[in-house]
Amino acid sequence: MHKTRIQDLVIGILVMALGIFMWTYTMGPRVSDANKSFSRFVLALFIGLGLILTVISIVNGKKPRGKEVSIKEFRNPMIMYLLIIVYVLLMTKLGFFSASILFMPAVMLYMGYRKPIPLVCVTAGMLAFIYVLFVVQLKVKLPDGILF
Amino acid sequence: MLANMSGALSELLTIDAAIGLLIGVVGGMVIGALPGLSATMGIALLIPITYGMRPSAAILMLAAIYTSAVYGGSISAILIHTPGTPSSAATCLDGYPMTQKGEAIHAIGISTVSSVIGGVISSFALLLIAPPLARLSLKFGASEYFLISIFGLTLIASLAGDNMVKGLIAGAFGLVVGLVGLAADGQFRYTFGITGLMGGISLIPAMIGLFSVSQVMIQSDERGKKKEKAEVAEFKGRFIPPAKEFLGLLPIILECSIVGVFIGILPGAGGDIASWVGLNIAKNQSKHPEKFGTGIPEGISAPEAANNAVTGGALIPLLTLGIPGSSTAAVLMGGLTIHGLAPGFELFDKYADITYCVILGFLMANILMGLVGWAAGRYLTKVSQVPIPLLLPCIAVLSLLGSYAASRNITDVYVAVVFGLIGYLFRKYGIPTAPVVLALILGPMADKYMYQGSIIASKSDLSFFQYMFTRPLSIFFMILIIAALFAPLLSKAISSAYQKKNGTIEAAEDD
Repeated sequence: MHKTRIQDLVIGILVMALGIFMWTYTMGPRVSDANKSFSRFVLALFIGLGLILTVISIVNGKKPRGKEVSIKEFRNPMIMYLLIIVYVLLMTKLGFFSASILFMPAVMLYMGYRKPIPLVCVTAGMLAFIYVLFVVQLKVKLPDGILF
Repeated sequence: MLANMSGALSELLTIDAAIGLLIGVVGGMVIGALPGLSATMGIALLIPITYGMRPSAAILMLAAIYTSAVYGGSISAILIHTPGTPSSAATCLDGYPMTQKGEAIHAIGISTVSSVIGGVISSFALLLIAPPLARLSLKFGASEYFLISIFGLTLIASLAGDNMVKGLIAGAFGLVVGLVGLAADGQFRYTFGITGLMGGISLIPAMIGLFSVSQVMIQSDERGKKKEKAEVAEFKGRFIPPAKEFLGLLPIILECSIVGVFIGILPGAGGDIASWVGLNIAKNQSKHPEKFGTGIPEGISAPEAANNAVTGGALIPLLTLGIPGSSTAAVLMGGLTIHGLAPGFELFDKYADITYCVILGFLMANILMGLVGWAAGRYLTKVSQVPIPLLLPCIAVLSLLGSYAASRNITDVYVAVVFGLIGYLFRKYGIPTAPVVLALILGPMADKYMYQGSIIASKSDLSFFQYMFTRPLSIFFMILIIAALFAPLLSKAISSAYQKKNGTIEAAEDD
């Protein structure tokens, strides 16, 4: 089976699994008829499409379809995602501005940017813009932690 | 309509509206000129800025971003042969050769004039067609609204891209996500005891995650890659085309603008299709079709007039019937929703001041776009060369801040982060993200009207399905749904036929 078809097969199976898992919740005794009928209609559609993708992947297994994705391609995006998660966690602990002061240069450095002046100016400029617009103008209370 | 104009004008003359208009026009042009950033993403990213604004100024700003981003895309298409949006792909064919000939300013001038005329004509179409169409919506009941939401969902097929099954799965996934929270009958479902999920998955953080956070992840793959600096031509020459040349181009600009408006009204067909159709019209009517692709003004004016005319056209079904025909329109609909505005007759009656202010402002945005383009168009190419490492953290911070500012709830930031990963994986594996948003908006709407319709039908001892067949308007919508199911096949065939005929240019994702 071609790798792109294996990818589709996995997607199809995951879709069906999620659909079936959610279907079990419609079997509860407390679920009203109206609620049950719409949920089941949506889930049947979801599971059915997953099944179609699975069948197509198996039947046309040898013909490539779409782009082959290798695990290596996930490296940089996943590190970036990790940085974002750390940023969100820091936001709740340290506060929005403190976390952003750490996050923005960290991303720039990770992306290979080494010029200090633009790095500092963009961080400071961006945070000043956010402060003026969101805190001063829109009166949004941003997450604050032990710092600011 | 005229009675509403004075109220609309006083709304338009507020400081809020002026600021919204200016930010929308300039911001849209910058977003459009940046390859990799689309109008859809720009609107999703800037919706949070509108929270504290008056609804009229907020919607006006979002509409201005839409039209300006389409124009902005042509600047990078002309100067560095990289269309900022798919709508500008056709412009590359003659725009870049003109730049190579040293006529960059002339090319941008033609693009600006054509885009402004296309946009202005579409604004008038919006002003004249939308109000009577909205009046029709007064005759709609629960069954018609249910069918309209189903009709909207059929558009998923046209947003599906290359792989129809994956596009439909994306739509069905949006419907599944829409199930979370409070059901139409007041029951909670799929909340798993989490308080933050009781109100459902918030639309704005989900959109920001799908379009912006996922884009940050995708762009991070540029790490360590040396970006070749695109050669930018010297800026010499005249911006505004000479009168003789302009008069020669005017008939094709007008024709393509009218065609663009109709393509915009058609659900599912957007600026990309319009620009190819426009180019083909110009080619067919030209005395020298062989010169297309060598850098001639007609090759810029036709697609640019057509793609900007689409924007006003696309707002017609959105404002009157609540049918977002494209991902950009779906995000715009999200903007309407968070400001408490529901598409339909109310927009042209109860909220007429706001709606007409947006329409008049949209007209002004198209004119202002031309003035800003004239003054700053040549400098926008610098924007398209901003290093990605500087841009990414700004997008990430604005995305998460925008998710938080929607309800000032940290749960929404988590939603954006989760949907960012979902969006990234979807895009990586060829599953389009736009249908998720469309389904997330229309799914709960279908649920609500199906429930209301069932109650009404039960009073006449009918099932909801039987009840729909007793209403002529419902039957009309059923026919429309069946027709819409076949529309993507037709539009795909037209688009690929035009592209084959005129050559293809790769462009950024999403319109």
